[in-house]
Amino acid sequence: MILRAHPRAESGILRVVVVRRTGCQQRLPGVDGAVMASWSERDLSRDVRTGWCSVLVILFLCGCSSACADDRLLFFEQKIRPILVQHCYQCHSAESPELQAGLRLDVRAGWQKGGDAGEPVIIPGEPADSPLLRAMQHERGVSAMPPDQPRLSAAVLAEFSQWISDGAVDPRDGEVPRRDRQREWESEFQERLDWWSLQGPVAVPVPVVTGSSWVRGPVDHFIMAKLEAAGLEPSAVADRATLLRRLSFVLTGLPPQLSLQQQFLSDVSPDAAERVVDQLLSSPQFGERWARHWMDVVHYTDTHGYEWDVPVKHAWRYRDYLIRSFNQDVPYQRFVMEQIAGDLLEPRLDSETGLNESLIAPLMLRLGERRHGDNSAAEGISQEAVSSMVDTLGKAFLGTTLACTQCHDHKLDAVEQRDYYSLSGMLMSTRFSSRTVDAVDPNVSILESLREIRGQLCAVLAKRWLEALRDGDSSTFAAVLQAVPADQQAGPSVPATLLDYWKRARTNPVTGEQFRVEQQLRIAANAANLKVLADFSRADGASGWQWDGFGMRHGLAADGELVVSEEGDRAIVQLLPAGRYSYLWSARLAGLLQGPEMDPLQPVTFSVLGVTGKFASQAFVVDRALNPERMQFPSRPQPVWSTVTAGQFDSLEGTVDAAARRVYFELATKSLNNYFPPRVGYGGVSEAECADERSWFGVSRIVQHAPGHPPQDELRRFEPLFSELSGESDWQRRLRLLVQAAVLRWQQHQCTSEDALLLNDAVQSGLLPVDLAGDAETADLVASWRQTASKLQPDRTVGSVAEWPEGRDDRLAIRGAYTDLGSTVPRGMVRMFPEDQPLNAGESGRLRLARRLASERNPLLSRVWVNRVWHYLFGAGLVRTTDDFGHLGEQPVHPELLDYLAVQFMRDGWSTKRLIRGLVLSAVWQQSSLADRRAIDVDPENRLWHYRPLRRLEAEALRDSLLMVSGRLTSELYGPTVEPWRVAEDASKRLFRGPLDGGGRRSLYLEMTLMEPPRFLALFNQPLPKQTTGRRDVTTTADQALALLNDPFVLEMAGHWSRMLVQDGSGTAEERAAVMLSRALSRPPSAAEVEGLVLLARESAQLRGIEPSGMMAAEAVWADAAHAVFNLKEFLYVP
Amino acid sequence: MSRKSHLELRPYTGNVSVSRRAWLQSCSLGWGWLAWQGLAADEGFRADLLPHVAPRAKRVIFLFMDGGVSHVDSFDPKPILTERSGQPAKWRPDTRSQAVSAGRKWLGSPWKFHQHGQSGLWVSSLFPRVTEVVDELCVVRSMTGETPLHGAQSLLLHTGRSIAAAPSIGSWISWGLGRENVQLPGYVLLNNDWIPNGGFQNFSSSFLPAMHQAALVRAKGTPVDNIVPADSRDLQQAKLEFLRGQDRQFSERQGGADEIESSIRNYETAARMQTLVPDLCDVSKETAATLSMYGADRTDSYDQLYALQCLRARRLVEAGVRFVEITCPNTHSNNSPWDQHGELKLRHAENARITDQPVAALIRDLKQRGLLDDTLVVWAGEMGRTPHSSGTDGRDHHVSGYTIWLAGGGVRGGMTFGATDEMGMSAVENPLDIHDVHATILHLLGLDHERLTYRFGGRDMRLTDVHGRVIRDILV
Repeated sequence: MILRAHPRAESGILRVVVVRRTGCQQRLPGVDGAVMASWSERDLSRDVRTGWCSVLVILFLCGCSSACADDRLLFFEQKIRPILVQHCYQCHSAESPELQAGLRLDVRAGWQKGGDAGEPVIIPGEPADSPLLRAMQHERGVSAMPPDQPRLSAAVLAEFSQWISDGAVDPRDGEVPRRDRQREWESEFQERLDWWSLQGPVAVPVPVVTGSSWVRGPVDHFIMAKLEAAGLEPSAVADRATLLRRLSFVLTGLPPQLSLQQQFLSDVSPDAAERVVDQLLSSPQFGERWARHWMDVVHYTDTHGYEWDVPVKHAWRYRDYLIRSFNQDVPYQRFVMEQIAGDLLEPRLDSETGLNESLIAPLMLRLGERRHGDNSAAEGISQEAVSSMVDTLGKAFLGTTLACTQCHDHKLDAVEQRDYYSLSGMLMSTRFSSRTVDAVDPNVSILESLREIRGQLCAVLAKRWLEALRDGDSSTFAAVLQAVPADQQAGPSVPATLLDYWKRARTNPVTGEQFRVEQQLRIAANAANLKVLADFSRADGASGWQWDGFGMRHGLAADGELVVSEEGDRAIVQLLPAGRYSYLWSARLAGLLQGPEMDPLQPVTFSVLGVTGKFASQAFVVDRALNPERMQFPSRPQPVWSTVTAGQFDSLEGTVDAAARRVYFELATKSLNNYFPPRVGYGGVSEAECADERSWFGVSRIVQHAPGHPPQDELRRFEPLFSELSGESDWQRRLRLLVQAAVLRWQQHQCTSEDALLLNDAVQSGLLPVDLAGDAETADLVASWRQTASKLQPDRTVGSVAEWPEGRDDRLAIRGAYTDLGSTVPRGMVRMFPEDQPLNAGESGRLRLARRLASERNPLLSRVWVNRVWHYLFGAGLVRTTDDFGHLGEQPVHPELLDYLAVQFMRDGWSTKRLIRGLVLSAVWQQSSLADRRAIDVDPENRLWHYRPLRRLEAEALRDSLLMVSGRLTSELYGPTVEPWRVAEDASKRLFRGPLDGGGRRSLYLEMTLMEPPRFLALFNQPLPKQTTGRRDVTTTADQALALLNDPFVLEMAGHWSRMLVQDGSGTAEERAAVMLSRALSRPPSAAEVEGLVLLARESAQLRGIEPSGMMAAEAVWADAAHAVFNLKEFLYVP
Repeated sequence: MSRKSHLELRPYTGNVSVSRRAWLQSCSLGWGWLAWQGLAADEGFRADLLPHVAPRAKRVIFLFMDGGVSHVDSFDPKPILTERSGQPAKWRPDTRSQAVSAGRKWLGSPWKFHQHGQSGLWVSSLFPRVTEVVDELCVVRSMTGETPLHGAQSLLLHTGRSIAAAPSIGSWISWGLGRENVQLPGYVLLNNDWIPNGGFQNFSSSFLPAMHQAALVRAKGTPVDNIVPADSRDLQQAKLEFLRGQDRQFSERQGGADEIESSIRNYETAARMQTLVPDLCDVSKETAATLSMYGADRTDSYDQLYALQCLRARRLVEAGVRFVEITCPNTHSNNSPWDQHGELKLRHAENARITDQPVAALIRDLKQRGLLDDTLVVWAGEMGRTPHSSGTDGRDHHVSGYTIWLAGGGVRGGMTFGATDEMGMSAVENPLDIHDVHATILHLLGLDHERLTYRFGGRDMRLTDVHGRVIRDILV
């Protein structure tokens, strides 16, 4: 009902009046119909306005009080209905001009059914839980109602609360047509499906044109047809030097090499251009250039920004993957599938690097701003991550603004809100995990050698140990024992180490009775308490646990296995109980161990028998959280039981989403730790530690138990002391025989886990010698081990993804608010591309999504990519809005050409290189940048492509050109990022200053942090990498002029070039100037141009007080000339 | 070869037609504004929108107290908190409170509170100089945020979003109002190379035209990147002469392409900016009394730096910049300047020492120059700090109730608005969120926050998203 002067609402008033007057009168049960007959809500509302309402109502109610059995009904009529009419009906009644949120408040069934969320908005008896009242109270997390008005008075709110408490009696019968909105949406949706970009591309016949001397291929036919129709002529073909410079920049992002210039300018054969194109397409710089384009699409960064700017785990490997993929011309279809679900595809092996390329690709899903930690705002955090992923998927692959549907059905395109949550369920059934991406194990033969050395070392050590255990006081064993003082204060407890038994032996020896009583207690306690969760001593003993990394893959150790020292003066680190140890061969190999899902609301206490060291982490990872801050770096050098409780997830409880979050336990070495290096200083990690590649952990067994009842050592290894050796009164001998028996079993490969513990005890306490100094044979073997082990190639790891064992659906967030959740939405594809078969319960659906998006049935994938390629080659797309093919995007002037290209692209096996080749060899692309004046008048925006506009170098191309022309560019490909040069450093965010010239590396190797991307590049419109950028801004600003005039990088490049020229020393000033111009502008300069530059050099020499005779050797002079050349507009703009 | 001084250079006035498109492309990226000095029209903003309401203020100075000043130690006295200091802390759960460890204790303020000025506003001894201008302040004690994280809150404070890429409030205002002075950028950030949490996104124009992003003026060293000529005047002149000849030919060969012509003109402007910008930032022409009032004569380098920035802020708004933001220097390896989880007494006092005198002087100076009436000063961090602590000398992040203040520009001075509970935990009276403050700032500038929209990604985007109400009770 309308109370405010609102233009749109006027018609609503009229309609309400008419409807109410023609019927629909409300009846109160038990009240005389005649009395009620004329009471309409419209009248009420009008009366409310005029102040008459209450008077009338009171009069009326008094008049029939005896007839109204139910006071609660009166209360509704008196207090509640007027307010609903006055404040709610405008948007929430049958007469609302536009029913908001699908919620009706003019009939009882309306609030019972609720709005789009499908849940009641009033819960009788529960005012505090009634969404309507919460909205009226303007509580956090719900939309304040009535909107844009002050809160209703406290008295009114109290009355509503009272009404709900009293059962929310409401006499207003009437149906809410359940599917109304749905039916409307359905027909709307079907109409939207007719949109041009959602129809499959059709290969139309190539148009016939009359200007056939100009056209070279089908693309030109399409262009020419439209030009002819408009009565326009295309521009002349660009001159050869211009063409070469243009080709070189679009294909490689660099100016042409001098040799290529010479080759092309002297090659007059008709296929000269084709040869150059093929040469450029096959150069490694092609991949660098096109990888950078893709990095814009997926908003590549090396960090997650936000507060701590933590790294995206080894993101640079993804950048290298992109370079290789473009250079190898991986079919685009496959490339796209890899980005979304590469972890689930058949691995694609790169033969040169031995990497599993597909497993690197899903790093794409992780790019974007991510908060640290897994704190109380877990829902908000995951919502942000999902939103960023959905936005990127939509824009990058579909040219559709999917992320809009986080809050509501798309306003114009065929995407509904449920689509967003179908996708988010799929994406969030994924866990973010670091993976070893080596497809082949590079270490197999080295491990064989090491195994052999270790066998020999075992034999040598066994011999040494038996010698150390020989009878008599002169043995090592005896000597060590003798040096240990007797324990004067030996307590009643039964010891667990050899030395402790020995200490007790001389004052208060442990008796067999004591031992047996104690042992029985422990055995009983264990039997009552322990439940084995995982046994890593057997290859199949840990179901539900997953591991990764060479360290873990090769880490299965039998009882008594040796860990050989990689450094120091000891031969071994320890003897292990059977289990899986990441450092069995080297602490440089990686390991990751992930447990099964746990219920965070039912805390589990368990103990792990294992080791951790050098900042290997132990963490509880909460689903959806990228950077788990429930992570510790315990230092446990020797195998011990340590107890953890999977609890303290308080902040994850009581969230609006009642479903418990998924939690799992994880152990990881640095390189497979998703969140390493963590934020600066976290857990006491120093920067030096971050750089050290070593770290390790290992597990033998994991047992669950009640809190406070950890596993007890059952002391079985000491049993012989009180059985077969009990007759031995000499404790030294007794202990010696105990150890000797264990060594003998160890030597014969019959070692038990108790033997392993006993022998390790003996080694660690020095009873058995492992020093290198004492034995040449040991020293040689260990030296040989160390030398061989140093050849081991550590895992190459990257932040990738893995599946949860089971998929989980998401709930729809009403208006996108994660505090206000609606119904569960099944995981699945967006509706506009229906999937034929429903998902299986155990399937996340990500693989299906990848296949469906990358299928030929998706009309958008090829169109969007072909259009992007056109954009990169021509400076604008056939569809100018490269990321939006929906109603808010621009429609193509050449839809048939776009379709032709899309179809041809798929027929060509999704080959990007063939697509590019065809386009750059077309007449339309090779046109001059000089447009015909008349054509500009007719088509100022060049929609018909009557010329090929000149373009400013992109940020990277400019910087790379400066490096190349000055001779500073290195041809090195790939590798970790290079810090950009910065004015100021910030160690707390690891923003350090790199070399001014970036070490001569191309711009795509500079570190892209979300916090502070390289400033020189940002000046020239490198986009802030937060979201998909298909089309970069191209601004022309005075700041850019200032940078080229004064920036230290530009000056350093000028200096570098000058040094090279002066060192070369040959030729005259004119010859030098000609070389410079030719190199910078990719064309032979005119004599006047050469003269101009020489004049500048002379001017510089004069101003610097340099004699003309010394000019050729003066670096400062030629640096000035070089600096001036860098500032030429022709250097910056490519015609 | 002719010898001209930089200032004698004139922009090209030849028969070069510069299209509107190229023209607008040129007006971008902060200091690039200066490219258009001398041109009367200003097409870079939404003139069709304005004004929505009668403006009270023309410009804003935003004093960003990065890291979160403790409200219970500054402007929100809590005697009961002091009484119960050291006792175990218990409070009603509030979803916006940071999840904290058990065993926390109330921590009373180590600073004493007194009433000041005619208005009798309460200010602690942390800010002795601000007390002198207290009758100008409107202290809002009932701010609330979303999540107790710096990055989230800082982005929320600047852009109205805690994560998405959205324009900064300075960019919105620059875009919405256009420039008061066409020679200057609309949004200037007086920074000291400390990048706050949330990164440069805090100052970004995002989807608004690039010219509305913050132009950065550094406190130390060279105030603006690349503004100091690399060459002597004569040498630069010689290079520019060479370029002029070459570029003209290139442009002719390209049919006088817009982009090239714009680029050529930018060189003339850039040459001129080398003098103009340092002049604007140079405070040496200010009187000794003014310098001393701001505390620019103090010996500590951080003290000097902040004083200098406050003085520059006044010079910039005086010259017509719409939105000037000043960040605090980060003196120690805190996460951010005011983020005192420990060393509260030492570091809060240090930050206060650095900022107190210049801030007070800024208000006094604006007032005496008649600028305070239409200049809105906003003093705000992204959060407050917990009244409880796990130690004895530190406080954690707090967003369920904290304090900011505003002054001048149509805001009532000498008043407090809103309140937290007796311990300073939650806003209980007139709770506000950052969107409300944004709506109010825009309102004071004559902009309706619901009508200041920009179509992007299929939506009419607003600074306040779908939230925000003007806080009418604090308007004059």
